[in-house]
Amino acid sequence: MNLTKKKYFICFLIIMFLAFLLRFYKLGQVPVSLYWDEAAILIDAKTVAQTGLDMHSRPWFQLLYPSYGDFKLPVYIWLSSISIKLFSVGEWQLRLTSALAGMGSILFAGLIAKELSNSESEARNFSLATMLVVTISPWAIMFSRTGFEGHLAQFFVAVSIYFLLLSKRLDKYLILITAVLFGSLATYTYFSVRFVWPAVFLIFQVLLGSKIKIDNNLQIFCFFRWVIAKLLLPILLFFILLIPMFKSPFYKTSNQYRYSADSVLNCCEYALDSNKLRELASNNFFDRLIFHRHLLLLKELAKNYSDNLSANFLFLNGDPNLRHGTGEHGLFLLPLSLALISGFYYLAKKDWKVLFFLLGWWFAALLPASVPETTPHALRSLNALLPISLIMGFGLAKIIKNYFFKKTKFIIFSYFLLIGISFVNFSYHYFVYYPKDSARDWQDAYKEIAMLIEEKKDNVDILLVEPNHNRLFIWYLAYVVDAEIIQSLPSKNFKFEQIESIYFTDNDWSKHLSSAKKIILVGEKKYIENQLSEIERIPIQNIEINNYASTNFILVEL
Amino acid sequence: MLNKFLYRHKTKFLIIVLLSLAIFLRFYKQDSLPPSLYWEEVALGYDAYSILETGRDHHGNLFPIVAFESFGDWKPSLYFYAIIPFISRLGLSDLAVRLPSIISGIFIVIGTGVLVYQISNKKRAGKLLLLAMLLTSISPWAIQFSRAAWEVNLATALILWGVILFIKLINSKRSVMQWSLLFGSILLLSLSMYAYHAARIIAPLLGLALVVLWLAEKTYSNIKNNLFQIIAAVLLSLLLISPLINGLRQSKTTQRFKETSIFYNLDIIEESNARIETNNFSLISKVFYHRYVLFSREILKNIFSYFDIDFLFISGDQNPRHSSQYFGTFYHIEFIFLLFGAYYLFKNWNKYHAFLIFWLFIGLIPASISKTNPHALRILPTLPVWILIISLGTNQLLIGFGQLFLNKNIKKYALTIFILIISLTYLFEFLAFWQYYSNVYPKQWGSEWQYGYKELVSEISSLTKNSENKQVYITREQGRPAMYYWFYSSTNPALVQNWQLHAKKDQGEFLEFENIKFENPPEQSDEPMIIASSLIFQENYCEKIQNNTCKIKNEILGLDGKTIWIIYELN
Repeated sequence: MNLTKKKYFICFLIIMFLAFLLRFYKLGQVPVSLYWDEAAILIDAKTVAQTGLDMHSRPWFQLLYPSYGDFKLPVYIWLSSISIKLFSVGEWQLRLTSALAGMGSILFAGLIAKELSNSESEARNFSLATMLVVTISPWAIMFSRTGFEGHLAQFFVAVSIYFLLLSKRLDKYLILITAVLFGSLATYTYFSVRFVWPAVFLIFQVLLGSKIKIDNNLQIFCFFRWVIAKLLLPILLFFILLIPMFKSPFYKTSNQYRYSADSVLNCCEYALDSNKLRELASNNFFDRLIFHRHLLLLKELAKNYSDNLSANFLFLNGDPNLRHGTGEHGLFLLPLSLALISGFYYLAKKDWKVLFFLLGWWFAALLPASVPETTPHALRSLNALLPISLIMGFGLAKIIKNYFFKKTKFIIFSYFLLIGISFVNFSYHYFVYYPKDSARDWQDAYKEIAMLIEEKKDNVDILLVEPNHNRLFIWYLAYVVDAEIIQSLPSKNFKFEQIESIYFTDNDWSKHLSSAKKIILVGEKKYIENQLSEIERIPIQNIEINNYASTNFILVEL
Repeated sequence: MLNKFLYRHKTKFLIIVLLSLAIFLRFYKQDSLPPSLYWEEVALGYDAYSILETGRDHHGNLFPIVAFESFGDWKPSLYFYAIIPFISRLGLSDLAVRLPSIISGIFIVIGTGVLVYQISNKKRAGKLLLLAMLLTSISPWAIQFSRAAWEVNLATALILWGVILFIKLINSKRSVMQWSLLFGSILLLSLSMYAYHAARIIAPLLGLALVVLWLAEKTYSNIKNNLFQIIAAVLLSLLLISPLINGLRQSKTTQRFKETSIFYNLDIIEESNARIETNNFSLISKVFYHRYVLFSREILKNIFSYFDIDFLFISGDQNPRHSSQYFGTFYHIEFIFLLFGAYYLFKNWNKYHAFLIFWLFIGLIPASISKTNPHALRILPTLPVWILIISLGTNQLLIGFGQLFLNKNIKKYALTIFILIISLTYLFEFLAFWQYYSNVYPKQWGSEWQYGYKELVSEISSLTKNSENKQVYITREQGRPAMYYWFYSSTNPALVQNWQLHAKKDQGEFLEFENIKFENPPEQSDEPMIIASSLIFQENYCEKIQNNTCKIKNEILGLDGKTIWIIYELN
């Protein structure tokens, strides 16, 4: 099929319109509420937008925001503070950045596809198919609708790769530098990109970047010049650009925070296991080799890679964490599994270098998701969105071509019908069932509680929050308290334990019971009833909060 | 002279070498690797012995055709009958029970080679035959299932050779040859259905696919010529499987399906109902959350699980009897070859390649409608297909690598080095696997194979020799002690058959036999007795008993040095 320019443009508009609809419809309401990372970004974005300082009165141009003690990177906060400045404080304003990045990802997926094509007609088919794949991918849709930094970083990586491709075609060094700049911008958005980008860059340059063949001495010189100018210097520049972050006063603490999570590096007793295996065998040189502890570690890492590559994760179940997936859909719609196989096949046939580049990109993207032990992980592996989509897009374009043969027309038509049905199935599930399923995972009701606290707090002396929900202060600060007041509040390790008369982490409630003051308790119904049943003389006034989830919170007056 | 001779008969010579390798890898240390008979193996052996001696199984059923009751799980019958000749020669021994599976394993090695020879073009067929034979004979998956008495291994060999004969039939012109090949193929495929449950789905579907393959290239008039053959084939198949069809109505064939199938999983139906209800029974929710949709999802999920890299190349099946746990179903390096093989399969698409893909998916279906996935045992009938794809992939990779070089000399050297690297990697992986499998595996997973029963039974027998009426207790933590007792003491099956009329049983498992009770001993007793119990059960049984004199007679240790059985004697 040869798409005319006009038809191509119409298809492009339809896809972008569909993408817009899927990413902006009810952006503030689905997912039902802000998660604490989002709410924390909202606080900083709000204070930056209103005062130019973050919640701890630190200047906006710092490279690590202390936030509530988890040390956030700045780019998402900067960008969302712009939208908050323009549109006031709210959920969709915070998610706008990510939604726009989602639209951008579709565009750049198309542009990259175009750059990877050999001919005009292939470019049109390939880029449209790839854009369609990204547009209807549950993975892309879900992360475009949430304020996760990883999604924005993924977009910047895509932009960077596009500039790499462009620099190869136009042979301009400045464009290469631009690519590096976007790479480090991505790293300032989401920290784990510092492993992904250099790897993808190197794979790209080695596989696609050079046209040099070594036949004589002059070309050996050319080769070294290429290695220095196009491999080493950009990588060097990338790390130089990261130096300000390494110099940031919070860098050390933030690293400790980050490496405390379970990962293949600290999960297992490799040395003990290795010793045991060696003892059971004969403990000769060969045994020490095959049961070496590094091999055991490698095996563990490979298992995690396997989780992130499993067909069930990609096409059927997705991430079990309901903030990262619906639990009933894969990262891509099920029928696209055929497109992936077709993509592998035709890319291998067309140009193995392109295939290997995309595979390399995919594998590099999975590294941050495979070192930690919670696998599979849709958020940490987001950088794989585009390489997979590109392979699928290529496969899909090849499948579409068969539509114009009489013999296969019906099969292809049914295939597209199937994609359509599973797309409707996903959107239906996402907008109808998913908000209820996931309400708890999104801390639904925290916002309402924050509002209620604000309403009640003036009439009482002390307001206690159940310590299990001590992160409520984030929502309270995000929605209720003004920027200047937040900055004047005292905090401990960047956490706010007490805001005026509201206590967020008080474990010992009983000491307040004897006092004659007027006290309100907030917490889960079950928890409060358990705590207070022993003290029978106190009348309980219930204020039920209606939310989707099974947990009901209550406000209790003593 | 010898050199010349070897060169001329290179392929034949190499086939013999590879066959010897396969035989060695399946017979070496056969008495201790896997360390002991698993309870299903003992059950197979003893019922075969019972048939040989009395014509009835130990429950007293006369020559069962479809299935043996065994522990109440109705095992398919063929393996029992396959053991009989070996028991009559070798007596009731570990080796006799395992021999049908070992021999099947050797036939699988040859068969995989022959199959790849049949379906690839003649130029490379010889090399591919050798390669496929080599890869099968050292395959961790094939070795794992060829060294113990697995019914599925027998079924796999029968299916594989049934397919080979049929493909030979497709390519043969002579009518007499055609008849014998046709009957042979039908016989083998039908027999496989008596050897393993999953084969009851796989074999008939493969048979149908083969018939389609056979007739696909024929014109209508040609088909008419073959009409007589087709009718005969249908009649013969019906005749051979009629006992099975007849058995469909009885619980003994269907019970196993009910126990293992996902269709009896109520969670899925409940989820479907709940989903539909929350949306007020709207039509769209009724369609999207229909129970059949959810069941299909479940099946697909199971099918996908077989393509997990972890299952295929890293850890294998979770069950330590099905996989060594240190290696995957295939060697790590075969990941690359499998991908290249798949590419080759599609690139050179023909009817045989279509048949292989069909075989692969049909082979996954019985496992995928069952619980516990991925399951290396249930999909064993697909083993030849996987190895075939890997062999084709290795071949394709070498061709592709060769094409990278234009200069003939460089190409030759590069290819040699490349082949050398691949071979060394394979050698290393194989040696690592073999080192683990032969030295560590029996020690680490001995308990999974119920190690210790053989030693226990001989100990008990010698203890009771002098005092025949002494009550014996053998506790049940290790599972199925009665069957082990009969097997290792070669108890006369007639006695068991008599005993079964009034014995206490737990789901087909005997709880008493003569002076032995297979249950926990009483807390207090004045009677003299012998008690055998696992460490898990009671560590200091003697301290509890005060009325009698109690002493520990013996301890039986596992291969890892841990105590498995303690034998107490009370006087």
